[in-house]
Amino acid sequence: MTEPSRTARTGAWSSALSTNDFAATRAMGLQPLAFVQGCSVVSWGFLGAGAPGARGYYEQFPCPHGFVSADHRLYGYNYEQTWLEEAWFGGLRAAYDRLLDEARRYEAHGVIGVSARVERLAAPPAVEFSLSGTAVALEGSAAPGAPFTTFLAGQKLRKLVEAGFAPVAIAVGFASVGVLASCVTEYQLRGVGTVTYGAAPVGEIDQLVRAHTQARALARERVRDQLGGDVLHAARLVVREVEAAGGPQVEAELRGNRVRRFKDVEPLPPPRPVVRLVDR
Amino acid sequence: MAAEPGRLPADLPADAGRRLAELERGLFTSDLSVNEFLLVKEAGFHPLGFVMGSSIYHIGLQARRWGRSQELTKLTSAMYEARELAMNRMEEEADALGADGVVGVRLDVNYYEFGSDAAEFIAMGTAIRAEDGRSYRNVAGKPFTSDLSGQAFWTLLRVGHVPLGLVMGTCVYHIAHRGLSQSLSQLGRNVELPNYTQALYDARELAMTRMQDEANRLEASGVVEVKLVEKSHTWGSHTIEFLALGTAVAAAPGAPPPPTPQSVISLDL
Repeated sequence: MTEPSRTARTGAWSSALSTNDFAATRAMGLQPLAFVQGCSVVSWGFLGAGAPGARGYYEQFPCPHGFVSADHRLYGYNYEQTWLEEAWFGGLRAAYDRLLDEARRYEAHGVIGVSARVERLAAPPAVEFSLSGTAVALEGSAAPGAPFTTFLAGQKLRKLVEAGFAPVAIAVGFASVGVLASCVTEYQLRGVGTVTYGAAPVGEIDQLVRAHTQARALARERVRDQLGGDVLHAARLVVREVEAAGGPQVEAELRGNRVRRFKDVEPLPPPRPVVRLVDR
Repeated sequence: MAAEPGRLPADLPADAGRRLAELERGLFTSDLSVNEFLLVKEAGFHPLGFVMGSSIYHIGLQARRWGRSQELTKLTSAMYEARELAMNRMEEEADALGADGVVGVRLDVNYYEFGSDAAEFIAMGTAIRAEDGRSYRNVAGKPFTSDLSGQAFWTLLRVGHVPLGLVMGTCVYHIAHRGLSQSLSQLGRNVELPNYTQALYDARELAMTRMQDEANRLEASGVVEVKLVEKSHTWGSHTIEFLALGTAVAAAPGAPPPPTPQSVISLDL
């Protein structure tokens, strides 16, 4: 990657902070330096998949009807799509490293208000990972080697610091579980049964529930691995089902802020009534 | 300097003159919400009128090479110039009202059926004037423009900064298609596509750099609320406009120190 042409600490700084966040940032003694970004476009493929269950989570859901005919599926299975997870982490890591490289060039102490976007590009079968944020410096002190990063900015960041926590890094976990539906799951998903085997059972769709549960657990586990004894703050879990050629895929993405306590707990200020002048 | 009353810049329609003349008699119009109006008044400004500028621009064609990522400079110029024309006309309306600035500026692009390659670029906002008679015009002697809301404008003044202008940078970029051998070598593999990554990176950097150059010309110390908007318009998926937009600001001379924000625990749902 070529270096950005915007140079460090010359001319006007830029920031993606809202004016309120800018005010709170300045009140904390932080100076915005630049809008920084990092991106990576990754080809999204199937090679490296191997056999389902060769790596990671795998679970079978056998057919309760026994052998009936050649076109009747004997079992279904859930399988972790480790090759997609690796590509996802690779793309995000490359974008993150580039974001940090830019921040270091500006001699930043940290990057606040990080925004992470993962977007499937229409033209090639590819995914773009794009991270951006505002590089900031603490006035009157030298830049550390490794800038901190956080999704938080402004008031939320200020409240975090007031509560005695310092931001360390963003933490992101991702898991993808593919579902090859068993005959029962397929009937349940379609909401119909067959003349031979009766109506689709009413109740929980066990195979899909297991896929969701596992995807969440795997994403959570990956974030926990990144914490290194620190605390996760302001986490947000998004679980979505993606229709793919082989059946549904369940993707879980957990984003949060790794924070570390740097001072003892102080009691929160008593609540004060406020008149909000924010348009809804 | 404000335009002389009754004399309108030649590129504004006659109807604009009649509308502005009514506004000069004391009635004001604005697209500010009640809360925004309250805070603009609290900041010491009075709304003068809703101002706008428009330009219908024919966006020409530019040849692009199938396998090469490149900036489409003619399209970049067209997208920039059309917005600039709309912005200038809005500023001229504000100038005719004797405004110090325009807040809540919105920039829109509309496409109509009457011209497939033509687009209307519109800039609109609320012209305001300082009640204490102090001039807030920028170094170019023009009213400042800003996409900040009334609340954000009030907050900015409270932290000792003034808006100087809405600054933008644009870049229309063609992102190369993959060649056959490249596609085959990457078929089904999860690998980074460095040419795509580099193209997107370069295009964003160009837009950001141009925006910062505009801010430097206004002698700004910073740009707040930067937005990076990406849109293909009508050019297909491989040609994208990257638009960087923000409000250039500078520290106000002699401003009191900013108040220390107090944390509040909102009891709203």
